[in-house]
Amino acid sequence: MSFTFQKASPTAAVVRIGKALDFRSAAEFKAACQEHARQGTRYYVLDFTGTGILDSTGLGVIFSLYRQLTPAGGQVVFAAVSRPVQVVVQLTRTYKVFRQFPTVEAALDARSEAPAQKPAGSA
Amino acid sequence: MPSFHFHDFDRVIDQVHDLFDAWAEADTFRPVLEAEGLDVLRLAVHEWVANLVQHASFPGSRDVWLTVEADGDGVRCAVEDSSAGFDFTDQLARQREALDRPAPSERGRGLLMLITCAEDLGYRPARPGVNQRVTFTVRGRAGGALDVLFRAADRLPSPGGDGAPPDGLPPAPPP
Repeated sequence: MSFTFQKASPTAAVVRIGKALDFRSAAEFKAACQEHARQGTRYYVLDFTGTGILDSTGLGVIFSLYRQLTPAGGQVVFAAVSRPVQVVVQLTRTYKVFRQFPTVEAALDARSEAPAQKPAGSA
Repeated sequence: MPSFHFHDFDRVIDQVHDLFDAWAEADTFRPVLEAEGLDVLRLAVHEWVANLVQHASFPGSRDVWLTVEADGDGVRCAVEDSSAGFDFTDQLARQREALDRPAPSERGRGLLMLITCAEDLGYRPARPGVNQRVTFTVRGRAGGALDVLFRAADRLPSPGGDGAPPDGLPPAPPP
């Protein structure tokens, strides 16, 4: 496994993708994310520093995570996106779905600075 | 025309990427193909070879030949293999249909990725005595957009999204 998880808070995790997220590692990535989701992680910062390969299957499992998290108010964001990953993001226009940040720290700060969502109907 | 032969399917993906790393390091295809263009070419080749590794049936030895050369304002690529081949058009149609499913699979978008990365796509099916072969050109800038690859069925409202509807499907490759 080339990726590692680091808890940034009880509900946030940084996932260092490493060299590749592709058809060879996608299942392992998915299983690890699901395990963290079961433990309460709702905010995933995917750190693409130095990532050379993100293929259609790798992007597919990221979307799977996104689909799982979004109804519960979770988020998946990208940080330190490498040039090969940026090419995939542009080709697939997934910048419309996943916010990008220049650094992991900026991604974590953005979450901590985000205003809490008010329940529907509140003043 | 440089041509490269791969036969170790446990390592072929890494070997292909090692080759692209060397080309990137040496600026082999500049100025015809800048760095982003080489990334697109790498992605296209990766998707095709990944498809072979995961799904292809080989009646005999498992061989892949990759040929790449600068051609005018682009880089022409050919990938030939010794597999039994598959029905390209049918598989492409299946991948397109799968995009509309309420819970689409994470897999099965490789051909869609390939056809959007590539121009002038050609496909020769395998038949007795003739290897399956795909050919295509990548130019300096990524041309297509794969908005369709993860279309509305995949999407839920996102604070960061602009909510734009997905575009139409990319054109089918010539038969």
